[in-house]
Amino acid sequence: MIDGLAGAFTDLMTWPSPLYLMLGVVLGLVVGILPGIGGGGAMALLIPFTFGMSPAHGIAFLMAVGASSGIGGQITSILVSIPGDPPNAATVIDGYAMTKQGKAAEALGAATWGSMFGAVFGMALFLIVLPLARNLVLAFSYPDFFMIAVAGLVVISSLTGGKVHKGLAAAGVGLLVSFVGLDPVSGNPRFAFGTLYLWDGIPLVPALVGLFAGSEMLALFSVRGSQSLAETDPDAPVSRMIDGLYSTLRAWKTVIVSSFIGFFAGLVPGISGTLAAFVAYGQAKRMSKNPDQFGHGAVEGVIAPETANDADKGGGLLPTLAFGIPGGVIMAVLLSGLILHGVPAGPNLLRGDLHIVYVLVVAALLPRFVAGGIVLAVGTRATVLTRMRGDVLAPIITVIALIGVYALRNEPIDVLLALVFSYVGYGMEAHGFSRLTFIIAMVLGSLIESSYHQTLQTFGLRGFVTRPIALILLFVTVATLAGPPILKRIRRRRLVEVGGDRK
Amino acid sequence: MHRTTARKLPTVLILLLVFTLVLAACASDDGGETTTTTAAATTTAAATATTAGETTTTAGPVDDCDGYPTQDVVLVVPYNPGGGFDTWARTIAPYLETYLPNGVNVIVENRAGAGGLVGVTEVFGSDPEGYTMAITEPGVLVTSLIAGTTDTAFDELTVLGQLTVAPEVIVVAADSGWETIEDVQAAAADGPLLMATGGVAAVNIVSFDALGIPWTNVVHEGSGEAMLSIIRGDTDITVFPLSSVEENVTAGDMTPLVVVGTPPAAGQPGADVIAGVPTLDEVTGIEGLGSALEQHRILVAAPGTPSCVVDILDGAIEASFGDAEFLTLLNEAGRIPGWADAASGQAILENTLSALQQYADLLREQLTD
Repeated sequence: MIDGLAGAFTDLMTWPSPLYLMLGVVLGLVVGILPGIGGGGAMALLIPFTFGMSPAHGIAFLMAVGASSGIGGQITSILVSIPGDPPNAATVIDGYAMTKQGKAAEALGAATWGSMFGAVFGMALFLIVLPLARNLVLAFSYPDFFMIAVAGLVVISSLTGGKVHKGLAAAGVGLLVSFVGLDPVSGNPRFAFGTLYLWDGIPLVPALVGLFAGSEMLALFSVRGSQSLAETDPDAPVSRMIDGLYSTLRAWKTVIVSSFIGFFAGLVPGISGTLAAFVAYGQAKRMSKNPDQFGHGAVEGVIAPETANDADKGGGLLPTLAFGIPGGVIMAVLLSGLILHGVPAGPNLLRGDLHIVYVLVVAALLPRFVAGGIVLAVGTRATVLTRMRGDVLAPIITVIALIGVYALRNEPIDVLLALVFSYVGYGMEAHGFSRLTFIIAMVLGSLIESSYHQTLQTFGLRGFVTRPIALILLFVTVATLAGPPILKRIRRRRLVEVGGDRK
Repeated sequence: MHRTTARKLPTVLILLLVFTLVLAACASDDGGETTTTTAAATTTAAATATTAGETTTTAGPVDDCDGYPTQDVVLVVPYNPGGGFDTWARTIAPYLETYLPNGVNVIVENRAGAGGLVGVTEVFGSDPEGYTMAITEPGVLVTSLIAGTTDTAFDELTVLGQLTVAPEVIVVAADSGWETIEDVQAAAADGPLLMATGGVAAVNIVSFDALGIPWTNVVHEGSGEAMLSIIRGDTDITVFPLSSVEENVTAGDMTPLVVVGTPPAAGQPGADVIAGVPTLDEVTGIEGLGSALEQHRILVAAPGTPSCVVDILDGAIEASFGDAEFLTLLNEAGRIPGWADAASGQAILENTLSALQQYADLLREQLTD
């Protein structure tokens, strides 16, 4: 295997491959920074551009674009609270909070290092389980997807803190919004009010951009006024990118756990990156020594989601390569890129020449390091944005965000939706309803509903309790829900006993 | 501070609203966003495109075609990037650029939604001047038309030509123990089979009705997930285009039982995969049923597009299929060229409509609540 990897590495390092790699990285970073169009869309646009290249070069170029777009998305998520892509939503919460505290550089550094570690772990896991790829992919079915989604919802419980009813309300409305669109069982439109545009439901990216970026910009403009984005205490030490590395190293347990979560989430169809980020965020909060910091600038709240949503690429490669069935938009485009270059990506790929697999792995990692390097080198310059006047910055960012939303589907209604959600988000924050809870419910709603019905249709109710993976997840979910209250009771009893003895 | 906040908010909203609506309105006036472009990988558009054809022909007034095309042409893909339609569009776009006169660009845009209907509806409503076209399939359009799921009269679209036609294949898991469709028909006597779909289409409804097999729909998030569920053994049977199932059949995970439509000729991609598998027409004894249900990929434009414009576009498509480089690309991608001109394409749409009209009640019953 090491020979294979080394061989692929030298392949990708022979001229002119590095040129394509650099080009892909730069393009990917730009695409990631611009809200709306994501890595997958950009890769699709660039496929014809690769027709003249050899397969290895073309794939390296495409992978570079896809890989760097994620890192580009982190920059805007942290600095200006615009999530580049749904998987960046969780990063926005603590990342932007850190920016407001003047710790943008540290957040950026932590996110970048987290991404790189996550990508390496994800690919390492991928290579380790590669011989078992088929079995692993086939082991996950509807009940398991359901349980994973429920685990994600359980994250909500850990985020509501004391105000359970507000968390439930936000989650409930999120679920309600997710139910707009085609019924997953009968395929008939629901809540579509007779328009074609709502057949696929309320689109996620406009809601996301409005809820997080839009509302933050409203706050920045109306509350902060002429103050700058970051409220720094002039005497505090200036945050640096290297602080991000130290934070990531200190949070090594979070990094490893988030990588595992990301890898397995990569096997879930469709929303793998987003799911990975949320579940990792929730798990990091549970594992943290200062969980109350989460939501107010905890650096682990940045490390966990970014590590997970890069590790999920490793998991997502499994169904793509084992069955020729893509695990997401980026994988789908990669697959058609592979096919267009005459690489038979399908069940036979893994039985034949593994060279192309190694090329893929190296091509997935290399650009991340390059992109990460670029961000670490020049990222500090970007943080100068946070020292600009809020009421100048806010309109500029808002316009860029809304243009990005429009560019997604060329749909003016999307822009309107983003505006509406901006106000909804502003109101939610003002009254203590968690936007993250809302978004989690919105993202997971359709997966929960469809996998629930799919399970009933195929396994029946017993499906939830007769499959090992689903059972384990069920146990974990119950333990997470019931654990803290039970622990509290035990502790209280112990305190009473101790207190009683003392008397 | 609170007063200023309260006063600033409505102003902010109004300004943002006005600005973005103006922006959106300006952009859509162009008749197509130019935020997405294809980079022509091959030869640049030549002004001397000999096969790009006649400028005016019969009925339409001479003015309609003066100098067409004078601006970029948009090719709408009503699906997300990375799929079959998207790949076809992006592969042929540079060649259409070459063979259309006046050196205009052909810009591919994705406008996914409603199972492919959103993009086509937009082209349906666009100006019939030949600057917007869509890639789609008759089956999806006709099904929606008959079942009444939308109000758009898709049969009035102007068809520019067919790019390819490919059969669908009814497959089961290789380890299901079923070798022929008769085995399945026997098993169905015990109760409806679980069919994995990425949504429900006419091909599922009509072919299984003709075969007399009752089924329950288990909907998935796309064809990939549906096929995985078959391989896992969670569902029993499915129908998908040959190109989608080919790899899995070769790998020994799936068994093809019936070919819906015309099998590819010997030597073409996929031919050996379904060698010896009976066609739907053969099994059911209904002539022509297969070709009404198989997957035709066609290019369409708004209703009432002038015939001289159609001729130019038709000519450009024909020239692309005469280009050896294009054919090589298709071959490498495992795609079979199946060009048919505008008139034939129009006939295909009409035939699909009349063939499926007979199943109108069945379709309406299954597709609406």
